[in-house]
Amino acid sequence: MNRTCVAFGLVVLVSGWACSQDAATNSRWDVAAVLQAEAGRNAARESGNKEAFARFMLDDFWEIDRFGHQFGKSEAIQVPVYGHNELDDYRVRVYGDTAVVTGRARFHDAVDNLVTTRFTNVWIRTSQGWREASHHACVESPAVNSQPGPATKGFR
Amino acid sequence: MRLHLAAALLSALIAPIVLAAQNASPYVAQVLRAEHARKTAFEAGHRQSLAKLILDDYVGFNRFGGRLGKLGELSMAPGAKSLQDQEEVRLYGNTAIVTGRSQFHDQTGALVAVRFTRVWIRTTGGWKLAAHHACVIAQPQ
Repeated sequence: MNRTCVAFGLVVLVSGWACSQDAATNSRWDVAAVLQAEAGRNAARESGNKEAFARFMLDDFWEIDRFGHQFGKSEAIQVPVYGHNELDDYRVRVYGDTAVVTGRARFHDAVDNLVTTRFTNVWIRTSQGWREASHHACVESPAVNSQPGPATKGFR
Repeated sequence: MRLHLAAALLSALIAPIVLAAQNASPYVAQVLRAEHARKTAFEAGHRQSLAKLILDDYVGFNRFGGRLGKLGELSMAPGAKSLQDQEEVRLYGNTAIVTGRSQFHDQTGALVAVRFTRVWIRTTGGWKLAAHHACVIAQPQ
């Protein structure tokens, strides 16, 4: 009887694991691990440690920068960094083995203009920890916060 | 008896992994169908159909960097008719990341090209949109 119960419990456990996600789970443990990966990736990138930076990315990583240019891992690690990124408005949503991170980054570009971007990063849980699969950024227009709504309605 | 139980448990454990690998192509087709359904519903202003394709905790960023939740996204419909191409789908278990290009005419009639990333999650109710991010493709100088 005990063995049957244990077997049944295991099957339920496995089924639950195999079942797809209907909503973000956001366990504290997962969110903390993803934020740690984000912090490690940012530190490696800003310090110019390309080897460490590359370890945070999957081999089929894709980046779309704020100019709409799409490139892979080998190019992403060569992108020059100008100083420190100020990051805020972080949001992490975890769906099983995938985490979607959104936030805002402020930094000075090559000609020292202050740029504010919004980003969406996708992280995948692997046996070596969380690895970034995709990064997409866009410039945050100042008008977005002052005139939301009709001005941009229907046009993404 | 013990052997049978162990075999049954092992099968239950391995089956989802094997199925996921075998269903890679059907999943891509399913995601592309969901993409098409989203585009059709968005452009036609069918908010009920659109709502069924979007997770409740959806977060999207439009090309102006404006953040939209599910209700905000629904309020954007109907959207401009667009031409979508250069689509690529990458599957990671129950997650699909779709990138591509979308071109449409804005309010002034100017042609706008944006690059997008959309994240789809496989749920018990099918593939649902969890995230969208768009940015204008800069013209070469």
